[in-house]
Amino acid sequence: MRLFANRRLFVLLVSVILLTVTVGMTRSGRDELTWMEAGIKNTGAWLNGWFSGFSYTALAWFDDEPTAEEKENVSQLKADIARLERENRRLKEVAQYMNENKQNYITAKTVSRSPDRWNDRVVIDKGKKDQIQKDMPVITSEGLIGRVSAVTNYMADVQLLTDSGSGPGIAAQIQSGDQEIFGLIEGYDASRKRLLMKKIPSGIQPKKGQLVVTSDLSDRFPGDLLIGSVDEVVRGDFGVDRMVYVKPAAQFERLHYVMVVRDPTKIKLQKHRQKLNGKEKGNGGD
Amino acid sequence: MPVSWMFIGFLSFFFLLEGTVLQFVAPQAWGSSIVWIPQLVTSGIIIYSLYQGRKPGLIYGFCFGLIYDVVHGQAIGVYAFSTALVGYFSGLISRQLFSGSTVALLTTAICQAVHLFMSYGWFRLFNITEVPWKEAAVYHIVPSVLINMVLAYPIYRLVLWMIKRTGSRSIQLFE
Repeated sequence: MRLFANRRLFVLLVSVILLTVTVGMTRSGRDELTWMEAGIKNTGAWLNGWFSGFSYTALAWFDDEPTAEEKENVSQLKADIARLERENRRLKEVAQYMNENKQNYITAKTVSRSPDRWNDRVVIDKGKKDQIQKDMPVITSEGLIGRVSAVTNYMADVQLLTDSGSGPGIAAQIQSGDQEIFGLIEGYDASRKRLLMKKIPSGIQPKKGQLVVTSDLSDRFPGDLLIGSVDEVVRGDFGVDRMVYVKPAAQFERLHYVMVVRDPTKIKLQKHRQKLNGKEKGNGGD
Repeated sequence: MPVSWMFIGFLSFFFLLEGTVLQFVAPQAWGSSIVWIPQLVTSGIIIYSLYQGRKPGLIYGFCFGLIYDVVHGQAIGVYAFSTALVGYFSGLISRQLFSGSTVALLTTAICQAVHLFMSYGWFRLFNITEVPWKEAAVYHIVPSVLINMVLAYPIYRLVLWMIKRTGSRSIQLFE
């Protein structure tokens, strides 16, 4: 055959087909990574950790020392927080709030960032060993920055909110006085540096400056994590809904320490849901 | 083809730089809308393949592309394919032209542009990114090609030094 005679062209064709197959298989929504990928990812994260250590040290030279007044403010705030926490704990004990159901934060260091910004993600140095699971929200002290998209034993990939690719939306709500306006955070406008919040009912008019937080109705994310504030309200894609440009509260560059939010209630909810789905599937199969 | 461990070492070093240190010096880290995608590994492979032929370019390109895909990428295969192809392409160019620093840098620029456009095209095709192509070209690809071309000069010197040291015969053809 003539096609096989031109070996180079044939190899090129086969590799394009192989590329399509592997990309299609590994594209998204995988729960488990193969051991080989996990090994390479762990090694990469470990080595990158060494390198980013140097950059953080270098970066520390450029950061200004906080002024005396700021320091005073910080200690004042710390004192307030300690007092409020104490009060909160007592009240919760009174309400027999289960201590094990408390949200906790897993602090991790960012190790590397994907050099191309086609998909925007960072690698952190904690993984399954530190009880991180897929789809957990990741925050900094300023606000929500993303969610865990893949996890091995020793590292995790975080998909940032600025990622332009298609990911599942984040259920969010705008806090406007007495009512709560629901919507989905879907996508990021890089030229305006704003997040897009879509699918908001058209009867409601959010105002500029109102806070946008995650919704507690989501079965993955705990509620009330700060995302940003309303910047501009426009008509939605189909004219029947509204879209809001949300100014993100957190900054996404030069990330150092991040926190993964672990909410036991949501984990239980997911397990329960999986069990229900499994049962349904089993019944359907029989 | 003898395996050059020194070259692999340099490429790995560049690879680690790309995701960590260079992410703090890149303009996007300081609030600029211009994005520099550091591709030192690709530059290294392009220049190496220019002197050592297309086969090493293809093999190194595939291996480092695959590592990139696993460590940073979202889907496996895009960079393994593009980097290997660019390495091969650069090896083909070397047979057509005399070699020198100008030709090496121009080849790097062309191959970098091809590499960036190709990887962007694949990502766009598979809907992994939704950056519009005009924005991608103006803010991502053109600045990246320019900066990578400038940074390719030290890499060019490095590769020359390395090849001379190992005493390969192909270098005598060019100098």
